[in-house]
Amino acid sequence: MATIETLPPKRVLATATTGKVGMWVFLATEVMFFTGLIGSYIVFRSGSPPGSYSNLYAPGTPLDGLTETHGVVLTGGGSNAKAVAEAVAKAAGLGPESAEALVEGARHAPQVVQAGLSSDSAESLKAELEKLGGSARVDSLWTSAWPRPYHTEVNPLSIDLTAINTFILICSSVTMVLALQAIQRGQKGKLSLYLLATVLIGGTFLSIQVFEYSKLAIDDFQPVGVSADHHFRPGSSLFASCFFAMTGFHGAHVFAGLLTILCLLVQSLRGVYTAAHHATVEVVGIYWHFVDLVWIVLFTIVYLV
Amino acid sequence: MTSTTAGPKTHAAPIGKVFVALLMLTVLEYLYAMTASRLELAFLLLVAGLLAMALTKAVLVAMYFMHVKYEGRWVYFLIVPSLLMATIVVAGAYPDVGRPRSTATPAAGR
Repeated sequence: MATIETLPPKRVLATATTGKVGMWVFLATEVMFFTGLIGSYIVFRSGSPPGSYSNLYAPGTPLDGLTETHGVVLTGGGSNAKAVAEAVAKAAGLGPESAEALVEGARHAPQVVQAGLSSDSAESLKAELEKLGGSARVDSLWTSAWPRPYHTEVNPLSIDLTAINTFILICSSVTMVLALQAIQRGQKGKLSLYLLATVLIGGTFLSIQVFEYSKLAIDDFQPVGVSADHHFRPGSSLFASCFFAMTGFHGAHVFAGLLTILCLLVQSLRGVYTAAHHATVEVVGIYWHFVDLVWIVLFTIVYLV
Repeated sequence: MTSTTAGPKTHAAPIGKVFVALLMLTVLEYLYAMTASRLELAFLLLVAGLLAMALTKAVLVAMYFMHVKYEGRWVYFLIVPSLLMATIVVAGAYPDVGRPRSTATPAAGR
């Protein structure tokens, strides 16, 4: 017969408080919400027909009879950008402002000057642009069912910036855990400090996301393969609407989390939380880490795959 | 009231180790995606590698930051059914939208 001494140590579990169980029930609905979004993205992506995106034409353009054609792509305006813009305006039939925007846009992504050309016509236009100091190349048409990462002709997302932002959000999760640990030890000052750090770091994540949105949708002149109107907006393509739906809803969750942590910070400064009374900090922390977890999956699926 | 006070038991998660693991996995993911794009690696290999790393990160966050490791089984009873139901919805939509569409037109009936 086993004595007390020989029995294996029992696993000590955390107390299931009402607040914690309530938060997990809420997160269960959130799991369904985000799985629905991510699942829809996967379904739309796998069902996207071949040829939906191309390096020379706007998303969804019918490409029948165009597969053997070429396009002239501007990769830089050179020192005489005005002359290049005039040549672009003449070749592409654009207004002066649009042509200047296209030449300016070539600084961050290759821009199609004219497509649907024969090889000879394309080489001739390329030579003309190079004569004026511009950098140009002749591209054959290539297509894909979905914009692949690192193909700036069709995919405008900045992986470098978002990788840094992912790291930032992970850091905010760490400060949130440290905040909880601090109050569990009764360190009220440290709790406030870590909560403040979480708000600041989380705010940085959100600011970078807003900066990314403004670059994509307003500031940058995107290649025609990204969007017909040269701005990456929800109506630009199925990829764009999926991107904004997923990252937008996630951003809204981050914003809600930040407001809640801000409330925690105010309460913490008022000395409300103690070593024996801090369940709210733990519950809000669980929500914040969930938001971090969702981003880890979104970053991989939307940006890297 | 149980909802306003924390339980007496606290668990010190290995935050430093988990943070370093998350950081390294993020860098690894970034490098893997970049290398895969340059080498034009097979799509399945890209997805498998990246998803493995992302899921490892997600599990680390859930286990140590969200304290799932220290909770009772009740957490799984809440999360697993919701994941299952969401997966069923997606799997149900896949045959209609996700499969490559046939271009053949159906034969006209009389």
